[in-house]
Amino acid sequence: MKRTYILCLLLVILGSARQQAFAGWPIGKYRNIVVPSFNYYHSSKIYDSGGRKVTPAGNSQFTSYAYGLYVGYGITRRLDLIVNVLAPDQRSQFTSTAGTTYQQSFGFGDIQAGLSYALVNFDYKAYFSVQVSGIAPLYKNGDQDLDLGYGVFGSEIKFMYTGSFSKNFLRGCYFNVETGYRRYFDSQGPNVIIYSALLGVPLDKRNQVSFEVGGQRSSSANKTFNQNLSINRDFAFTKGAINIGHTFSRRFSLFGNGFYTFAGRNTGVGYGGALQAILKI
Amino acid sequence: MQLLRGFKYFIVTAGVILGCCYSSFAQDKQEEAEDEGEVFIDVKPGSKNGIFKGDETIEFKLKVKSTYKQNQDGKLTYNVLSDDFKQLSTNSMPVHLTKNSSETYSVTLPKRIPGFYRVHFQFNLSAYDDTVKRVFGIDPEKIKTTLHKPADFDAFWKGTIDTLKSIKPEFKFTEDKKKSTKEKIVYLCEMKSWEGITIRGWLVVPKGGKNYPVLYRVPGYTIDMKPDYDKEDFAVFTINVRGNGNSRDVIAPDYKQYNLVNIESRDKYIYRGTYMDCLRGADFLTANAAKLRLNADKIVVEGGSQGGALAVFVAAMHPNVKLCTYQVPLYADMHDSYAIGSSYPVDTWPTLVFHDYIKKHPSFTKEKLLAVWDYYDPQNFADKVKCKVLMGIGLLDEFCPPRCSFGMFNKFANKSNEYFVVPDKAHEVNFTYFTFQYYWLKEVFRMP
Repeated sequence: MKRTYILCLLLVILGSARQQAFAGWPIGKYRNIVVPSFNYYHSSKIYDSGGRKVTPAGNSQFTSYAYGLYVGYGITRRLDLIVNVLAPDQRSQFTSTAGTTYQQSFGFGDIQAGLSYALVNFDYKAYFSVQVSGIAPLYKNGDQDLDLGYGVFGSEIKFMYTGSFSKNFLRGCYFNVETGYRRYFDSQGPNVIIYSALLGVPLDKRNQVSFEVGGQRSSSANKTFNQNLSINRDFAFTKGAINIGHTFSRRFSLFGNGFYTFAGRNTGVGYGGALQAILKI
Repeated sequence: MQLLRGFKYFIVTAGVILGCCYSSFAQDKQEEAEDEGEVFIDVKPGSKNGIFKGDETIEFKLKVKSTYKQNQDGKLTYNVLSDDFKQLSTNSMPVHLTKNSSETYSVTLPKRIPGFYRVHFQFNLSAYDDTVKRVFGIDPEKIKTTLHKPADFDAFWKGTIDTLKSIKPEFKFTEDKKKSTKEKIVYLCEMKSWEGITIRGWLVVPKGGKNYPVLYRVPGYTIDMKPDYDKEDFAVFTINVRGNGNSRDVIAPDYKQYNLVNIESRDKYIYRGTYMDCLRGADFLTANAAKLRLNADKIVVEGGSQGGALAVFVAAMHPNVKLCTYQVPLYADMHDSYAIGSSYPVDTWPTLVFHDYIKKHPSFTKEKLLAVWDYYDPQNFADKVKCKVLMGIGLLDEFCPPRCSFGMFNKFANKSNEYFVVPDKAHEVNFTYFTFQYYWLKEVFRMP
C-alpha cells in the first residue's frame, strides 16, 4: 500500500499546483511565479481491480504530508520554463499475515521540469498551450522503507486550453481543460493519461472558488493486483476538488484545497487537502 | 330555387375573380422575391493584421454570400491605389454565385515597395453592386518620411520650457469624496501652466499600498477627461489641457475650432500652451509622488489621436517618463498627412478645418500653415523619445494616415518599440489592443 498511493499523490499535487496558480495562462515575459505548498493525503480504503470500494485487511492505511515547490519563469510572452519538485513525508501501516508493519520515509521525490508554450492566443482571452516536461527521480529505490516513486525517468506532454468567460452568467469566470500523456522509461511503464477540467468563479475582487474534476488512467503490461498496492502500475482514479483562494496583494495569494477520489481502480480511496502560497515576483 | 342558383353563380364568379387575383398577387410576390436578397462580403487579408513583408504574396480572401433567389453573375474588379488615391493597378475576375450560395475568391495583388496601399474590391453583379475598401501595408518599418524641422526648433522649445519653469506651478490636490470609491481615491488636481492659466486633472489611486506606477493619460481632441478607474495596479492621472473639460475657465474655444486658435502665430498657437500643460501634468506627478503614493520612476504616458501627439511630446521632453503608448496619432508628419488628407475625394477632418481656414484667410497659405506646424509636428520630437514605445493604429484611418504614423514611429531612438495594427478599424483600435497594451505595460515594468 505504498508506491501507488505515493505516485497518485504526487501526480495529484503536480497537476493542481499549476492549475490554481494560473492554469494554462502564460506567466509573462520576465515574470516569475513561485508556489510553495503543503499537501496532505490520507487513505484507509481502496478501490479494487473492479472499481469496488473495499476495506483492506487489517487496519491498512496510508498518510502523507508533502512539501512542494513549483517555480515558473516567463522566458518569452509564450514560452515558460517550469520546475516542480516534491518532498513527501509518508507514513504507511500495512497489515498482512505476518503482522502489521509501520513504515515511514521522507525525502525528495520526482522533479519535473519542462517548457510550456502558448500555441494559440485567442485575443488574450484564452490560450491553447502545450507543455513538454521530463521527470527525474531525486532518490534511489530501496534507500528507504517506502519508495518515493517508480525510481525511473519519464516524460510528459500536456495540452491545455485556458481562458476566461466574458459573456452571460459565467462572465468573469475562468476555465482550464487539459489532457496529457506521461510515460515512464521502464519495461513496465506505466503509460499514464491525465485529464482535468476546472471552473473558477470569482466571489469578489479578492476571493475566488474553483471546482475541478480530474484523474489519471495508468496502464502497464504488469496488471497484477496485489493487496500491497505498491507493486501495482495499472490503475485509474478520478478525483473532485474544491479550491478556495484569497488574494492578499498583487504579489501574494493563498489557496486552500480539498479533494476526494470518488472513483478508481487499483488505487486508494484518497482524500486530503493542500495549502498553496502563490508568489509572483 | 332561383336564389340558390344565383348564389351558385355568385360563388363560381367570385371564385374565378379571387383565383385570378391570387394568381396575379402570387406572381408579383414571386417577382418581388426574386429581386429581394443581399450579398455579404467578408474580406480577410492574407496576414492577420494586413501587414505584409516585401517578399510575401499579397493575398486577400473574399468570402461572398448571396441570399438572392436567382444566380448572381458579374465580375469582381480590384483596384490598388496609393494612400493618396493614385491608381496603381487594376484587375478583375468573373463572379458566379448560384442562388443562396457562398463562394470564396482569392485575390493576389502585385508586389509593392514599403508603404500603405488602398485596395478597392468592386462587385458588379446581376442585381447587386458594391465596393469594399481595405488598406494593406508593406514593410512599414522601412517607411521613411522627410523631416521638416526648423533650424531653431530646439531653441524654441528650450525657451518655451524655460518659461514654463519660471511659472510657479502652485500644485494642489484635494480628494473628491463623491468620486472616490471603496477601492480607489479620486483627487482633483490643479496647477498653473503656460501663461499662468489654471489647468486641472483627475488622479485615481488604489486604496492601500504605495509606490504605484502611473498611467498618465493625455487627451484626444477636445475630450473632457474624467477619472479613470479601469486600470488595476496603476494610479491613473487624466489631464484636461486648456480649453478642455474642467480647464475652460480662461480659454474656452469652440470645440470645432480648437486647432485653429492663433494658428497664424508660431508663438501664440494654442498647442504651445497645450503641450506645456501636458508637461506640467508630468511635473505634478513627480513633485507629488511621495504624498500621493506614486512611483515617479514608473510613469507611462498614454494618449489616442491628438493624445498620441501629446504623449510623444511628453515622452520626448520629460525625463521621468519611462514608457510611451499611443494609438492613432494625430498630426504625425504634418506635411504628408496634409497632402494625403487633401487627396481624399471628400474633404475630411482635420485637413478640412485647415482648408476652410485657408479659404477664409487667403493671406494664410498652406505653406505658412505647415511652417507653423513644423514646430508642433510630433515626429520632430521623435529622436528625443528614448523610452520604449507601443503604437496602435487602424489601417482604415483617414484622420491619421498609417504612412505618417509609421513615418514617426520609425524615427524613435529606441529600436525595441512595438506596434499593433488593426486592419478593419479606422480612427480607433480594438479591445484586443488595449488588453495587449495592459500586458505590455506590466511586462516592461516587470509588474506581477
